[in-house]
Parts: sequence; structure tokens; C-alpha cells
Amino acid sequence: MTNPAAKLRRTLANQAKRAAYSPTVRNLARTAITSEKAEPLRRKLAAKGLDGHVRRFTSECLPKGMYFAKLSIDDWQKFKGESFQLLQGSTVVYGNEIEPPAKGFPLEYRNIIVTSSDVAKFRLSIDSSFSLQIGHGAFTTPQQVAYDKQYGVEQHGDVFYSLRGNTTSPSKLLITFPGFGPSTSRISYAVSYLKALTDADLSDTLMVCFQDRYLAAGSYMLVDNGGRSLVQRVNDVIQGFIDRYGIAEDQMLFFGASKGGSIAIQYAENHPQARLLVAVPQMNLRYYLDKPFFKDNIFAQEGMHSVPQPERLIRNYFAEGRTIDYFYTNTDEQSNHSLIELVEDVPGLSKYRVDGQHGEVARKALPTMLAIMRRFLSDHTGSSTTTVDEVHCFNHDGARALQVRVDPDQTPVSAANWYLEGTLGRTRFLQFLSDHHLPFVKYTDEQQRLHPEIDDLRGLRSIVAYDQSGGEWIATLPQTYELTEDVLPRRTHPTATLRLDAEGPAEYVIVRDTKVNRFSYDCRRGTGNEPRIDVHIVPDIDAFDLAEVRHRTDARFVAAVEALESGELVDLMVNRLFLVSACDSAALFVHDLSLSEPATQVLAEYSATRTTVALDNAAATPVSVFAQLDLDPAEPSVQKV
Amino acid sequence: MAVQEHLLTVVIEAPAPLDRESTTYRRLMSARLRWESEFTVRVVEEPLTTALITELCATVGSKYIVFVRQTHQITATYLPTLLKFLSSRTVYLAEPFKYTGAIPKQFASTSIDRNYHYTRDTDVYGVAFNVGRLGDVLDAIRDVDRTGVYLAYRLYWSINSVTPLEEGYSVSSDTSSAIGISPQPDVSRLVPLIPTPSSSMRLHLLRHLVLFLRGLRETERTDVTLDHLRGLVSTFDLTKNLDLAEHMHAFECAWIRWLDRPDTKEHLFKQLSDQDAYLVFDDAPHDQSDSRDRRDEGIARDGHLGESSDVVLHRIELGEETLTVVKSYLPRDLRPELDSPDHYDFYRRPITADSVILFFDRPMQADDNAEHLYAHFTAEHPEFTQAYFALNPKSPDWERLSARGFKLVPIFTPEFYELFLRSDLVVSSQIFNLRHQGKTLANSRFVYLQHGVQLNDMSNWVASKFFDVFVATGKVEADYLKTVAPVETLNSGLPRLQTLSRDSEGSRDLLFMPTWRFNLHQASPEHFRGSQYFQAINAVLTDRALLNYLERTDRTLHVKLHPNIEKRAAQFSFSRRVVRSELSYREAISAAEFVFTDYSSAVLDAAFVGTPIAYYQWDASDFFHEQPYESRLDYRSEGLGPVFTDHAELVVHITAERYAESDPEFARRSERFFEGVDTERINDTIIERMLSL
Repeated sequence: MTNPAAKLRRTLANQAKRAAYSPTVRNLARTAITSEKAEPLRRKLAAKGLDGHVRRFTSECLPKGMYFAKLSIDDWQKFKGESFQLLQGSTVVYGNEIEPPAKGFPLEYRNIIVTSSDVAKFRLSIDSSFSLQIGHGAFTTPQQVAYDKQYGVEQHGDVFYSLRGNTTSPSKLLITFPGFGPSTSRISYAVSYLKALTDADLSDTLMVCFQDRYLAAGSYMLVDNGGRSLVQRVNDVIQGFIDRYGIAEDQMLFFGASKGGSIAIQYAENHPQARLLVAVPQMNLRYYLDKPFFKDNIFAQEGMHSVPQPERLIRNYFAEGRTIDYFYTNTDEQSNHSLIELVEDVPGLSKYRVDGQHGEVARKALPTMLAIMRRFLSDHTGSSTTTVDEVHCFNHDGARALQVRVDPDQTPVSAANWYLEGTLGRTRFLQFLSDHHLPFVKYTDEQQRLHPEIDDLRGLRSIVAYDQSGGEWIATLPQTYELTEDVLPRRTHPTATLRLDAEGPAEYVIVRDTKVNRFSYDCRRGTGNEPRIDVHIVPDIDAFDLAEVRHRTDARFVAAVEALESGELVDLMVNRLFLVSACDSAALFVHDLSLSEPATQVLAEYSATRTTVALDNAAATPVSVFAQLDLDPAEPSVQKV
Repeated sequence: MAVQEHLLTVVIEAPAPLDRESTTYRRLMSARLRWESEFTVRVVEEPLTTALITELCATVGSKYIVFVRQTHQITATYLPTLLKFLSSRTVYLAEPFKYTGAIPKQFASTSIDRNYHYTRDTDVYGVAFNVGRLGDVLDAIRDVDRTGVYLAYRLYWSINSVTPLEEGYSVSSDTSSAIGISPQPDVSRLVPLIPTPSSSMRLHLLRHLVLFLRGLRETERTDVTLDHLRGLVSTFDLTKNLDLAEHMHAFECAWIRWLDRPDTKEHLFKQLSDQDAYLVFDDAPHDQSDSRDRRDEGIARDGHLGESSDVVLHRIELGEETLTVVKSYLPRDLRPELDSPDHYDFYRRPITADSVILFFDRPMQADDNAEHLYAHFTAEHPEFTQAYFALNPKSPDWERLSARGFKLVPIFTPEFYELFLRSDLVVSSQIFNLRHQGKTLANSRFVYLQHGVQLNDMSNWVASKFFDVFVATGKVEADYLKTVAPVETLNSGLPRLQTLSRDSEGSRDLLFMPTWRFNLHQASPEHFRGSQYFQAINAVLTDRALLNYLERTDRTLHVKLHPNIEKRAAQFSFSRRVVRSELSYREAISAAEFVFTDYSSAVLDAAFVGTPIAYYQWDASDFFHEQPYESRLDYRSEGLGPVFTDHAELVVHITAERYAESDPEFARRSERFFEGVDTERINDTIIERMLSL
């Protein structure tokens, strides 16, 4: 039986809560309480143990009808490595791949944005019990709270950052952006604090460490929790510092690794004189995020894709001749999108090729990145000269490996990185070298070999070392005949962006690890309006009549692709065309029998990403992929995964 | 079984007479003050064997038994601690920290790590065994040598770990490491193959196998089968810890790798300039005469076997099987790592004027071949600006060499190892197992100058050492060395001989240079005084006729004591005419009119410059039984001076001044002995070779 008084109390309480959490009230409160003047009040509230309430209350305000949700999955052990989705009705509101949480903690995903506060409307795609908390305020963890406190991260309106160094009269500005943490971390929102930099290093510099505190694990600082663009708000914060301290444009450095690198590229846009230091940034977010970890979370945010992609921005920066230090690895084609591996003759660009997986690059090259920062912070430009005592070259099936012995008396004493340095036109190229257990020996390991297809062996000039204190050592590389023996003249590779309106064969090159393949492709708007791209793999693009084919399909786009070097990387070419088209599905037509195997790879790839693939027998082609896939061409050709 | 009369029986292994004044004996006896009723002492005069231990177990009337060799060292409270521990519980065994060298002062803080377990001596000594249980084991396992009894006992009773008592025990000699252990002839197993999960036991077993193999290289005969050895390696996974054994026993490690994988016969042993030296193990049946012929043929052609330089190092009988070990010189391109940039090859870097070259003699004493070669090299090749001479700064030679402009570096310091790492060549009169950051003498260039001419047969030792050049003096020694190092042997002569001159014109100095006896290491002063060694030497020093002669002819007998007996010098009867020499060997030899010794090869320096020499070998019949090596030289038919075994004959030889009479036989022998040595070109010959490496 219902108690009318209790019901009334509940109704009033809910109304009061709604009023209190209304956007107007919260916006006002947030503005007031996050201002610098409110610091004493914040301390007082914290002393009373009310900081949690304040934090939730002042957390970003979602548009009406949107809520923050926290999902806990109970039986995660049973589903380790599997993908799951959280569905609100039939709509996927969040998805991820299950990874073990930190020891002793539940598997939680916080700050999923949903449009209902009714828990009953949600279900999981996997057969696991789960709990869902839904509220108006953002969720956090004690670990995140402690982290923010430790690093001094504070909220300023909708933007979060910590400040270091000279906060009174800086002449330089060092701005850092964070990468992703592990998806199950208790600290979902980190800052790139760079503990190695000391107060002395930052004596003339204000360091601003931004926190990407949006959505479940960050939004590339492109959108807020409500999906609204953040770009102007963040730009205003940066401009605020510049104006407040009168920072000269060339006295700024933007730094970020991985996601942080992409954000750095984004927010350097208005500052052409600033230096840019990035490691493994994602060039094309749609391409990079098209994977189980992201597919059903930030990939689904339209705001991620509607802004100019980092690739487009950095191409502009290349054209402007900005000073850019770019660390990358050839095993990271998803981030690179075949740009940095091939680009050359760009003034101001230093490209550092570090081996290893995406996540290893920043860690390995940290001494160099600290050196670049410290040289910037101290205006240090000097170098020490050292010598290469010995150089040995090895030929491994055409790839070249190198071993050098440097003068042990003229080398860095602290942690350092060594590089083989050369020029690619006006671009500086540095290949990371491995440390031998003999301190004076440096060499290229298997992943660091030089490949005549993409590397200019004749352009190699020196051995360079950077230590984290900012020291630079340069040694001339003795010319060795073996290094360039039997090497054909190098071909430069086009790096133009992949276009949906190629209108005539264009060349596009893809690099993955040590593989390089060139493609001739043509892509046009189809005559139909089905959200699909038809991709025809052809043996000779000049003999293929794409103009005619586009009239015989209802697809939105049609493309023809000819692999010029080998059958490798066709899968990536198709995938890139598909993603750039932003269509819902792709149909693949294989006219070149020799490429049917790569075509099956495409299928496997799409299976993994739950994309619909259509296969059909091109009317005019003698051989179809079905022969290889052992499918019946007469059957309906749409495969749903 | 006897009725238990005591808690512990202490078995002292001591050849008669028992040295009752030795520190070890006195320390054992001091336990009687408190524990007299708890232990008894039993002295055995013959070496302990498994059979003897079995017999002791059956006859002693105590619960525990411990074996102590007279020459071993114990800490002052070793026995009381043992007794106290054993009195309060029943255990399989109790043991102290065990060492091969001196017991460290802070032995209680010895870290019980892999290295400790590997280097710990595993003979029966110092460990208190439960008599009943030891009897059980020996009853079950009779075919194990004494040296394996401790390990067999632990395997049998699955004693996987033992916490040492806070006392120290040292076997006081690293001889077993140098020459290995040789089980009794009828032993067919080293230990029973009872699996153990204990990593420390596996390290002990590895050590035991290494030392057995080392000893087998000396005896070349055993009843232990290859099957048993392979079983040992696989049961206890002994290849896993070879890193601990590698630097001292690389030869044996290669052997163990072959036991583990018999299909891989060739094992890289030493990198060289143009080719590499491999050890090749082969247990396939061969016609023995073939190999012997090949070896003889090789020697006849100055070390080269037909087209190759391969030499047979060993032919070892294991039960019914024969294992042949050949040193084979194979092309460098057999090593695939040379095609990889992560492998640094020290030989790829030529020796140039910029090269770091490191020279050294003994850490505390220079004045040997490296010093002489260094002086010559830096004078003749001033373009080599990075030639260093390593020495301990506390050495009396430091100041002298510093004044001569030597580029000195403190030996065995980080600075020394840093230079070693960078060096392109190491040149020394000593072989130290240098290792630093992966660089060893196995993978870099090393010229071994030696510190004397080898008169003993040390070929097995030579075969297990790493060198690119081994300097020999004269054809006789070179031929001997070429049987194990045909490519590396260089008959140039020792560098110190080039500048050694006979400065004895008008000299009235005689020189006596007795060498050392290993079995007197731990002797008490009284025991030493009673030894034949002391008696024989002191009899010369105090011989009335000799003293009269010296007085009458205004001569002085200088006695250059071996460094090992310097501390006992006061026991000898020096006098106005018989003095203890403070000079260096070189100075003493140079100034002498006549030099005599018992067995020292240092007298050959004197013979080289034409100074008459003689041998006084009062213990010739026993000497080599007690030494680690055998004589290669027949002193009577090949020696470069007369050999005396009788004191009176020696004295007459001197007092009748027969030493001053020239003897064509010795002149002929000398000429043959030093054949091939061009005195004026000794250093240049070595330098030419070393710079071409």
C-alpha cells in the first residue's frame, strides 16, 4: 500500500533534485564554484567531506534527457577478450572488448551517455549479470580523485587541466595532451604531466597539462559529454594564456602522444609559429577507431568525424613549413594512415622512426622527446661532436642493417637515444637504433632495418644521440659501399590523400610494417544512393570502364583498384576506401584472380568489425572471388556478420 | 650396530704424523672444554674412501659423524656450534658455510645465491651426517665415490635445502677446480639419478660433473659410462646453469652441451682471427691408430695435419666406449651470428695505431714479460698512443714504472674493465678469466706471454685456456705446445730474455731458488719445521763445508724464497754468508755466478744467458705425486745442468767449483732447448704477430 505522505515527499525530492540538476542551476554553480576566487570555498567543502557532491554537481551538464551511466559487468572472466554491447532498447549505447579490470576491482565502464534513467530499459549483448547506475552527475573513482589531486588537475568551466612551472610571468608555453589509458583503468582520465621535467626546467615556462575528461575514456577533446564541439572552448583557454602572459607564438610547444598527439595537432591549428612534438598520433579517427575497443563508443560520436581530421591539418602544417618533431613506427599503419612513413621534402619536419608497437614508441623515445622539450625550454641549440669508429653493413634480402661503434669518450652518460640520421629532401629522417650491451655499439635490429623501397640509403649522413638532459651528439657516418651496393635509384612515393572524387586513375601507397604496395585507383560518385561503395579489384585499371560500371549499380560510390607491385595490402586499400566513403557497407568485386586471397582477408577484416560485406560476380568479369571463397555465386550475395 | 656412546665422532683424515699444533686440530680439541663427553676423535691415516666411510659408519658409537681433513680450515667455534645444534634435535645432516678458499671474516653474511651453491665444495668434509642414515645410503649405493657421497646422501633422502649453521669450513685449496676430481677406479656412477626439484642441488651436481670431467681429462679412463653422464645431464637439467661454470671451465661446458645434444659434435671454443677453434666430440668407434697417426703426422709438420691443423686433445675411455676430443680449426663463416648486426665481433675491428692495447703481469708485481714487451713496444711503436699497462697501485713497481713513463691503469678496477671492453688486444704473462659485459678472452684477442718455460706437462690446462698466441721458448717447448695449440704457438722466446744479460762478471754471488710444496699450505710452524722440505733446504743453508767455502772465497749464497714461504722465512737459518735475497728474480739471476734450484723453471733464464745451473732434487721420487702436474722434462737426460739428489753431492759440486767448469753436454742440450729463439728479435717477433691478429 502506498503511503501518500511518502509519495509526496518522494515527488518533492525528485522535483527538487531535478531543479537542482537543471542545466541552468548547474551551469551557474559550476561557473561560480570552479572560478579561482572560489578556492577557499572549495577547500572548506572538501574539509567537510562534501567534495564528492560538489564534483558531481559541477560536472558537465548534459542536455535535457541525457544521463551519465556506470556499467559494472559481473561475469567478465567468462567473457574475457569478447566484445559486448550495452543496448538501450535496440540502440547500442556502448560497446567494448572485455579486458580484466585492475586486481581487486569490478569491471566498470563509467560515464556512458544514455537517454533514459530507467535501468530496466537496458540489456547486455552477453549473458552476464550486470548493474547500471544512472544519474545527472559524472561518475568517478577514488583513484581518479586522488590522481587529480596529486597532479593538481582542476576544472575550469568545461575544460580540465593542471598547471606547472612558472605560473606568474612565463615567457614560454608548453601544452600537453593525454593519450588513452587502459580501458579498464580506475583512472580513466590522465594528464601528460612529464614528471621528469623539473621546476628548474620550467623556470620560464608555464606548462598546461590538459585532461581529456569526456565520455568513458576521452573524446580527443573534440566533443563534450553531450556530443557538442569543444574546440572553441579549448582554443579560448589556450588563447587566454597567450594573452594573459604575452607569450610569443614561437615560444609555444604542443606535445602529445597517440590520442594526445592527435589533440595536439588539433589545437596547434591557430599557432603556426608554435613547435609541434607528437608521437604516433592518429591521422584519421574514423580509420583508427574502427575496431572493437572503440567501435561502439567514441567511434559512434559524429562530432569525432565532422571536424577536419588530423591528417588534413598536418598536411596544412607541412605546407606551412612548421617545426614538427614526429615520432612514429611503421607497424602502426592504423595511426599513420600511410602519411608519415612516406612523406618527404617537407621543410621543418623531423621524422623519427622508432620500432615497436604503437604503445612502445613514446616510452622508447622519451629521452629524445625530453631533449627536444628541454632544448626548447632552455633555448639550447648546441651540439657535441663525436665519431663513428667502425661501421658494418649487412644485407638481409635487400634490406640493409647497420652496426656502428662510436667513440666511447664522446657519448651521453645518462639515458639516451641513438639514431641513424639522413635527409629526405628538406625533411630530416632519423631511424632509431638499438643499444648493444657494449655501450659503444649501436645497431639496427630486425625492425629497424632500412628498406631501399622507402628509405633513402644514399641520404644517410650521420649518427645522432639525444639524452634526456637536452644534449645532442652528432657523428659523421663514414661512407660505406656496402650500404648502397646494388641499391636501385629510390622512387619517391606519392602521399596525396585518398579521394572519393579521384576522377581518373591516381596513385596511392600503403605501408604496413616492412611491406609497401602502390595502387592505382579511381573513385567516383555512383548514380545510386545506397550507402555502399562498390570496389572493383582489377588487373589493369586503364582497361576497366568505371564510368560505365557506375551506371549499373545503386551504390553511392564506385571505385576501381589495381595493385601495382604485389597482392599485398589490398585489404587495407579496400578498407580505407570504405571508411573514407562513410558508407554502411562495401561490395567487393575481384576481377584479378591473383588477388582473390587478399580479398578473403578483407572479408575476415570486415567480419571482425561487424561490417556488412556484399560479394557479387561482376557481370563482365571472367573470374569472381566466389571461385576462391567456395561460395555459390548464384546465391544471394550479402553476408551479414 | 654399536651402542651409542657419543653424540658425534670427529674423523680426522691426516697422514702420519698428525700435526697436533695445527690451528684446525687445536680448534677441534678446544671443544672438549664444554663438550668432552659428547664427542670423540678418530684419526685415519689413509685417505677417506667410500669403503672406509662405510666401515666407520658400522663401527663408530655415535649418532653423528663428521669428517675433517687436517689441512682444512674451520672457524674457532665450528665444533661447539655443531654439537650444540645436534644435541637438541635429530636431523639428517648439519653443515656450516663451506668454501674452497679462505673463510671470509663476515662468513655469516655470505649470500646463499646461485654462485654460492655452485662453488660450494660438495665433498663429505665438514658436514655432520646421521650415522644410521649414512649407513643406509651406503648400504643401498655402494658404487659412488667419496666425492659423491654427500650428494648421493641428499638425493637419497630428498634433502632439497639445507640452512647452513653460522660457522665456516674451508677445504682450503682450489686444486680440485684446477685439476678436477678423480673418483676411485671402480666407480661407475657419480650419483644415483634420483630426480630433485632443488635448484641448489642441481648447481651442486653441475659442479660435481664439471670437476669430474676436468679430472677425466687428466686420467682419460673411467668406468662411468657416457649413458650415465647423459642421464645426469638430462635428469638434473644441467645445461640450464652453465653460465656459472663457463668462465672457469669452458672446455667442460662444451662437453656437457655435447652430452646434452650428442648430434651437435662441434662446439665453438675460441674465436681466432682467420678461423675459429672448435672442440669436436666424437664417441663413434674409430680405428685408434688412425688418429694417433694423424696426430703424430701433425706434430711432424709443425702442428698441421695435412691440410688442416686439427689436433686430438683426448682419447678417453669410458667403460667400453671411447670418446675422442679434437681441437678443430674451422672457417669463421660457420657462425651465422656474424651476419647479424646485434652481434659485435671484436675481430672485425683491425688493430691500428688508435687501438687500446692492454698489457699486464701479476697484479702486485710487474718486471715480467708483459713489462718488457710493453717497454719495447712503446719505444719502437710510439704511434700506438693507447697502450696501457695494468698494475695494482699498491705494487712496489707502480712508482718505478710510472717514472719510466708507463701509461698505468689500476688493475681490476672499473677503469681497467672499461679499457678492456674497448681494447683491441690484451697481452699478458698471466691468464686471468677476464669477463666484462659479454666480452671475454674467448671472443677477443689475447696474447699469452707466459711467465716461464713450462717444464711440467700442463697440456690439459693449456687446452682449456683462451689465447690467440701462446709464446714458447725454444723448439722443445713449442713442439709440446703445438700438440694442443698448433695455430696459436709462437716460438719467439720470452720477452724478458731479450734484455736479460749476464751481469755476473766478477760476481761472487751464488743463487738458490727452491720452489714450493702444495701439501705444506696449512702446516703448523712445528710441522713445517719437521718437513723434509724445510730440513733439506735448511741443511744447505747451514752446511759447514759450504759456509766455509763461502767464507774462504768471499762468496755469498743468496736464497730467493718462493712467495708462498716468504711468511715462514724466519724459520730458515740465514747468516752472514747465506742471505735472503730481496732482489727481483731478474736482478738475482742476472747477478749470479751460479744458480741452483729443486724444480723451478726460473733457472732457465740463467741457462739462457749462459750462467751455469744445477738441480738439487732431494725428494725426486715423491715430488710429482704430490703436485697437480707431471714433469714433462727428464731432468737427468734433458736438464740444462746436473741433477743431485744427495745433499753432499750438491755441496761438493759447489765447493769444488765444478759449476764453473764448462760442460759441452749441457751446452749442446741448451742449444737444442732454445732452438728457434732469436734473442735480438724476441719482442719484434711477438709484436709482428700480435699486430697481425
